Amino acid sequence: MCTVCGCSGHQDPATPPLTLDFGQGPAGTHLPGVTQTRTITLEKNILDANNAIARRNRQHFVSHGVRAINLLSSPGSGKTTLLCKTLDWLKTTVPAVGLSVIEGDQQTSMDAERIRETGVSVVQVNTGKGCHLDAQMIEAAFGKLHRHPESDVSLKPSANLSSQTALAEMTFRPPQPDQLLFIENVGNLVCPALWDLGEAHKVVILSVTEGEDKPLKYPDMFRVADLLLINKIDLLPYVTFDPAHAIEAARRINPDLDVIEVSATTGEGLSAWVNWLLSGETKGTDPSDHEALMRQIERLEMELASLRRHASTAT
Amino acid sequence: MHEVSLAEEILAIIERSQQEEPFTRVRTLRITIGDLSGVEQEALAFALTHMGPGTPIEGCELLFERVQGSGFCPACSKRVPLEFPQSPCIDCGHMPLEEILGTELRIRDLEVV
Repeated sequence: MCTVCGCSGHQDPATPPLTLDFGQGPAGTHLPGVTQTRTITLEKNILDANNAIARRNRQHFVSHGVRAINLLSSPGSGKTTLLCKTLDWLKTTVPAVGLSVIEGDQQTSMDAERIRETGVSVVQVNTGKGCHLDAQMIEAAFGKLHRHPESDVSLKPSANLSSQTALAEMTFRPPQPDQLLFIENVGNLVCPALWDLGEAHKVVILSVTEGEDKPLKYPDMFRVADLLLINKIDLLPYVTFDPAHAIEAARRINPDLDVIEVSATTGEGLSAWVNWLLSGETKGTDPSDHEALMRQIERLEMELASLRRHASTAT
Repeated sequence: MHEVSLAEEILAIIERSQQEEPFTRVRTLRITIGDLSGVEQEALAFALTHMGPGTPIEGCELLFERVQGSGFCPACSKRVPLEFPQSPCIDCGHMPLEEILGTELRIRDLEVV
């Protein structure tokens, strides 16, 4: 049993294939029933099933110190190139942080292959006719990526656990994650906004070769995002895109949206983007701050319990 | 279109219900769609109709109830109609509004046989 989150059994993340295909339609079932007409009251929200799985995913991620980032954009925004560059940067600057990717496309594993070349673990999810990733796909993909520890090898105890200072330092340190999980969603600015995957943050990527007015044309996506990345800024001299207009439009839809301008090609802005990823800073309303605080407390309590177990078994 | 995904979710809900209280097929399906849910009623009806054959919802009647979008304007201290979740108040232009209603997408009930 996993000593961190309590689930039983683990899958070997190295076992191929690391592609999950959801391109199959629903199966119908028929059961013998009564012949009289009657009404069954359901009052069921249609996204309940997805949201329940998303909550489970979120809890699972918190238990394992995973910060999951949902990357969203139109096709052609440069998501995959930016992701590859980001992974290289993270491997160099913060080698202690674990990295993994769930890659979503309708067909092919070409994007997953590009990620694999960076040396990072990746699972490709093919959605078939589907236009977005859903929580169940993420649950299945994470199961293939993640090895549940039988012992707490991921935690590094301080020199003197019994000292009040060490405990105080542990309580008040900034929430750097043990792992970053990038979920590269299907290229689509409409549907993925509705489908909670259990991620910590939604990041929307808009490139300067697209229109400045996109936030107004696709408001749902920009409203649910925590961060807007404006990509391909190295091309600004050749296009009429004005970042200030795009940011103004986005902030009209979502006043709390963070914005970072980047170029995957030149590397400009990448350090600000990586800092945002590691610090988990986001200007949120009170409920989301509270939620982040509760997650942090829960995670620290689990770490403390685990460190105490480690200390009691140490010679 | 995600109305197809939503139609699949609806069918999954109905099939789970069928396992709890067995029936042969659905005669009428009643669904509430909020104006701010982001769901296109015609597209959803199309998806449900076309995935029907071979499932418990084949040939069933679809009844849609609509809920108007509205929000509370703190500047006017009253509830006003909303066309989109991020629309400004139609009277004073204040935005964003609070306590947005009309975002639901819910199966009310099924008439089964």
